Amino acid sequence: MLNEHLRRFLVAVMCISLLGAVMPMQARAAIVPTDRAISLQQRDAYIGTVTAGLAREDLRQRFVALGVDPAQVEARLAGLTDSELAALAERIDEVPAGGDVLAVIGIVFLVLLLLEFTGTIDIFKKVP
Amino acid sequence: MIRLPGASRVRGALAGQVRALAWLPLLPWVAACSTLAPLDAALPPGAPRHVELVATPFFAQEDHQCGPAALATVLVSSGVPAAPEELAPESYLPGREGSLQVELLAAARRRGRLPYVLPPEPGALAAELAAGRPVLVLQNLGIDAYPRWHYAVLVGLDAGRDEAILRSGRRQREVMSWARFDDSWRRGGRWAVVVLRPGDFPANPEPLRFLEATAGLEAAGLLDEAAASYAAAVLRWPDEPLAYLGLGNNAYLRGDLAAAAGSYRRGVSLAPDDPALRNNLAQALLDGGCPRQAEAESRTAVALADGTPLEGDARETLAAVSAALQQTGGIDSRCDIAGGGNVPGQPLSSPDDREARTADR
Repeated sequence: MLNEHLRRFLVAVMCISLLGAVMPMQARAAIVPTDRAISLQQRDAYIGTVTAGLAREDLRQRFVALGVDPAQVEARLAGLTDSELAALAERIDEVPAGGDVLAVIGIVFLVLLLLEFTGTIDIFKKVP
Repeated sequence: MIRLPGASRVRGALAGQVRALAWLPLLPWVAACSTLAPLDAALPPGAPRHVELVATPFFAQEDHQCGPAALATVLVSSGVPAAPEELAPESYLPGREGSLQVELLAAARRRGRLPYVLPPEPGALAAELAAGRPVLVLQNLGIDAYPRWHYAVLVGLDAGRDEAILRSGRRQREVMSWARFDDSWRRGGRWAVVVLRPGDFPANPEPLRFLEATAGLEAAGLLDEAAASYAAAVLRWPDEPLAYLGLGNNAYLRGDLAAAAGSYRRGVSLAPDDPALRNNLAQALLDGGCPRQAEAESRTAVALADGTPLEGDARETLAAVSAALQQTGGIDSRCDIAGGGNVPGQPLSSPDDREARTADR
């Protein structure tokens, strides 16, 4: 008997709390954010709410995979606009990541090696 | 000249072909060099011919961390205390051994500065230097096929000597020939950024570029800084509808619905056919307890947004307005924001005026 009452009470509480969870979402449907309105006018591209959400989720995983501390990923992504998130998620492997100026030496070495193999130059002769 | 010890005639011919091919990767680079103009010719007539910001601080870069070092340089120049070590954890991506452009922008925003991406022209660089602002630039020091991305800070130009002067890597004063700098900058996508105090403008601001930069401050949660920037924007461009959209959205995000509605109204008077302004006005009116007034705006927004990417947003707002009208029985019982708040910029124009402006646009 008591169990039945308790059950009904709990169900009622859950229904009300669920309603509470849904209501505010309805109440603040959405304004069109400034960055989306601008990208629509500037590039004729519009980033919808769904696209922005997916991009954020995708980047969360990519950032962790690229060695970012999982505890910091959220804070780092928070500084980006939806347009930036969408553009980044689309081509994170291609966008420039400015790094080390010294690594340029690497390409010089590669070219020299190539020229050596083709017989154009002869500078590695002494190295066995 | 070229010895092929012990090679048969066939092998020699083959090696000759490979040798010819070895130069192929260099071709795009050679081709690109030939199109570049000297600095003097690249600068617009009014631009300064010789400027160097000698007081710009210098942070020597650690391994791979030219991004944080370059960012610290421009931040400190703009008056924010910053050091590469503290910027690295939030802008360095270990898996890419470098920093992404947008993450440098985000790090600047978090320090209360407005990063403004310049138009991709040498004249824009010169104008910022003349205004006393060093410019963060992205260079590609490799070739297109084998890029080596690098961030540096441009602190000077000298058209007479055809040179660019930079804080770069571990060099406090790196002097590059303009052709070499311009080529590396071009291959980096001619990306250049200045950091501004919110409310300040770059030397030659473009309205949409500036508003987009300001929206970035909001993304980082800096609503007050963004408000200062939008307020400056509507004063500078009183005829730009998107400036009022930005100012209104900012007020909405801060919970000032009366100011939001007032700003959207100003925008609607300039651009009556803009669905985003109408939709957001409807949303602000709805939240402010004026569903009846919101309904008219919302229906207009739905009609204007028909067939555009904003269609979904407009319909969603109308659905929320309709639901609210059913609940309240169609009365704006607690509507106290309809008068609109104080909006900087011009006073509302008369209807005749509006027609004229619309025709102009």
